[in-house]
Amino acid sequence: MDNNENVVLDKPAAGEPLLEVKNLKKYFTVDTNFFGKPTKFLKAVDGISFTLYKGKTLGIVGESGCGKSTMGRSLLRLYDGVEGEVLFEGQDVAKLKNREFDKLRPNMQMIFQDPYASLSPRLTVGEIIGESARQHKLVDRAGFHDYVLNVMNMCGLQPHYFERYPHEFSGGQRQRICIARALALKPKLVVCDEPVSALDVSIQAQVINMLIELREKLGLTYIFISHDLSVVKHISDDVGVMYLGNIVEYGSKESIFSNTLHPYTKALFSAVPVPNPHVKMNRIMLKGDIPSPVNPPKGCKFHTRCEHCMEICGRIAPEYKEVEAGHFCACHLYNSAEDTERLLAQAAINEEEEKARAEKEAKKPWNVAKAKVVETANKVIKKLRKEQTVEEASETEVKSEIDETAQLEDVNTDNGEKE
Amino acid sequence: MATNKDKKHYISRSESRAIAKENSKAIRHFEKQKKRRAKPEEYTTEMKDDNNIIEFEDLHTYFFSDAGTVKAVNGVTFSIPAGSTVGVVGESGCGKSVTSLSLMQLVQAPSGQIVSGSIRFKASLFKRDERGRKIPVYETETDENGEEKVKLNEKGKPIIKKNSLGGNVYEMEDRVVDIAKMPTEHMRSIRGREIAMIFQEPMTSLNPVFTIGNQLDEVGLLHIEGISKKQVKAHSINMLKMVGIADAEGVYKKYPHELSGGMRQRVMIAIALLCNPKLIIADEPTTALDVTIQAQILDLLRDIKHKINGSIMLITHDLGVVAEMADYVVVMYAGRVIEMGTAEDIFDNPLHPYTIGLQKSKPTVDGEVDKLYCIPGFVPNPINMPDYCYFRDRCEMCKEKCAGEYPGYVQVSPTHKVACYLYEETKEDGNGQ
Repeated sequence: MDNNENVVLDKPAAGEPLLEVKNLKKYFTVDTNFFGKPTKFLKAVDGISFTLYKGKTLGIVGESGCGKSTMGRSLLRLYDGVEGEVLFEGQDVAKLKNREFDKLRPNMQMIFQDPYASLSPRLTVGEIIGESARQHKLVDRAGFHDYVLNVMNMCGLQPHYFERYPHEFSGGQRQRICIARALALKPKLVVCDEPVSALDVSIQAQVINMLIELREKLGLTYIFISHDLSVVKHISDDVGVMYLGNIVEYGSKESIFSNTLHPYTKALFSAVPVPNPHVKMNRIMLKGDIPSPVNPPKGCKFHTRCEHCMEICGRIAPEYKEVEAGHFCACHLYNSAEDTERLLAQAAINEEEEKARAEKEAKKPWNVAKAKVVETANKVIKKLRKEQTVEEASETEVKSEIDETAQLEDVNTDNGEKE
Repeated sequence: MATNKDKKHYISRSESRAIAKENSKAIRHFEKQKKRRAKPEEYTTEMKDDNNIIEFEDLHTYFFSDAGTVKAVNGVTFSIPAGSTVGVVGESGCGKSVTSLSLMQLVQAPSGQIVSGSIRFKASLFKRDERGRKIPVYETETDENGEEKVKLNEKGKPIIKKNSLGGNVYEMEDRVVDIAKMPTEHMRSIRGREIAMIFQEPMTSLNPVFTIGNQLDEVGLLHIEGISKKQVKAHSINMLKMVGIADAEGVYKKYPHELSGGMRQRVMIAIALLCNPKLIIADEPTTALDVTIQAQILDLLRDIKHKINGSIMLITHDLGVVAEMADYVVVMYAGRVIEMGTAEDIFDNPLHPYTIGLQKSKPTVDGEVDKLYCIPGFVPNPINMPDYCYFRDRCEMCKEKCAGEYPGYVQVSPTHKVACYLYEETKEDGNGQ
């Protein structure tokens, strides 16, 4: 147990910012033009800013496809081409050279969603957990075994699992192995990307309890990404709600759950089923599906599904601002009159600029030619359609005539028989 | 180092050979049973309660694997009253899906077989003549003498009556059948027509190489005899509209990959509804979906239940979904039903330690707890199930008596049953006083 204390790192003093994120953006290229220049983007993360203090847990919630996993991975520099700043203890992660970043890497670790896919089937549990510690020279060869056993003990794994392979374990145990792997490097920040969504309810509780225990013991800072609101509420201090690549609401857990501001958050909270048959929920039903992040709606991205949608919402995106102390929200509902005026003016300017740009674009010779071709094609199609409808109409007329004559004949034959 | 023989799951070569031999013998027997030619009278039974639409009684479904027999469903008894929603809850691997697959006779054969027990279903089947053909209903007309006569077409053949969809009308009869004893051939007239199923993952259960319309029409053409392709298309598009797809004609032409998860699940529901089934089995219909979409789909299911006036068997592990949807709840653990009752019974007054633990281990949005309760230990190995109560090793309230044989059901209230020794004694005490 003496060795165990070695693993416990110095608890960082709370109150210092550990991670500062400023206007983080990650666009994936969907389409390129003839020369390989990207023309179409999937805006997975579209301008996110927040500050995370030491020892706190930030919960990120949102529907699938809203960019929460992409955000988590971009923070750890698992993607190239990330715009914006990620300051980890004051150092900009994106600007570091690879060798410098390697030194920082042990401080930030990740727990992945699927414990079945994220463990190498060819390594033993001991190797999986200890591999990175050896790589970063946190431990020498002599102390390797003890070091790994300590970490395993901390995560509730029995010592004889050291020699076993991941396929011998159930989902809950595998997730413990994943957690042990992340903690073996004595990290300060752990990004948990849906760590419990693949597990059963009773196993979920075990893993969540363990994560909370470890946070208290090691003074960890978590970013907890999940779509399960109840889990996020249980584990987090701060909560950020994401929609189509943006944080639409951010604040402390208490303020978000007791005083929900954004209409999307309200709808999200009301959609969670409560395990009590007597509670009849006042559902705010969202219409339709989440729009494609390749073509997000203009203005506020949520305005297509929002029940409080106003005229301004379709024209300009709302500003992300502090509505109450420590409670941020991006919605036009909380604009002051001046803000609305200013934004409307801005929207008018933007629209004019866009119009001018579109006109300019349309005047370019290749676009003019393209327009001509489209026009003639449309004309031809219209003509063909007209002919078709005329033909159909005449066909039906002929048919009805035939029917009538047939009936007449029937009547005649009937009469003939009678006679 | 431990030798192989010390390992818990070690099987020697002779043992494994013996298992394989026994398995093939058992499988051959059950497969023969399924392929036999049977008259409907052979599998006709009576319902215990006439209000029920489905009655499971002591159902055993086993998987004959190379490591031994896995008793996935090990004596399940419950019933689904007509017009109600029954929620089946449990962890993964507890046999809830296999129960529903047994009902559809879709258990992964040849290794998975319904071994014993009965599943009674009130079906309306086609009446058949001596040669096993359906008896059509003919269009009639009254001639000038006032007698009813069968209408003939130009070729002198009688015209079969058409229903509102355009399909032929046949003589039907209501018959209570035992699905566990039914041959596969006869099951086809029930599967998809009387009982429909909505599967968990709409991505994997829709065929990626056929259009949505193709897959919808297939069901219609198969089950509604005499319907024309045009009529089927119209019916399919109607169904798509009914499940809340705005652009039904557009979706009809699309491929599954072009739709979002929620839309795909709606298409699955449309396929299930196509033949107006009496019972819909929804096997984790919302597990793969987001909360907001989940709310939409649950709303739709509730709506549709009223529209078709049928019953729903809802299989899920989410207690919230069950509380919202179900009238009756069945809690399963390791292949057995451990507690059942109305939703109020189960959520207000859970009795079995497992049910209590399950409810305490889930954090809620409106409640606040410091530490989540977690049920210690794991589900027992399905190959070597203990003789005593399966939950005993994880139970905190276990008694001496729990080491004995598996507890029987204790009727706590007219609707509430639990399989636990804890309540047997309290009841006896109550009687004694």
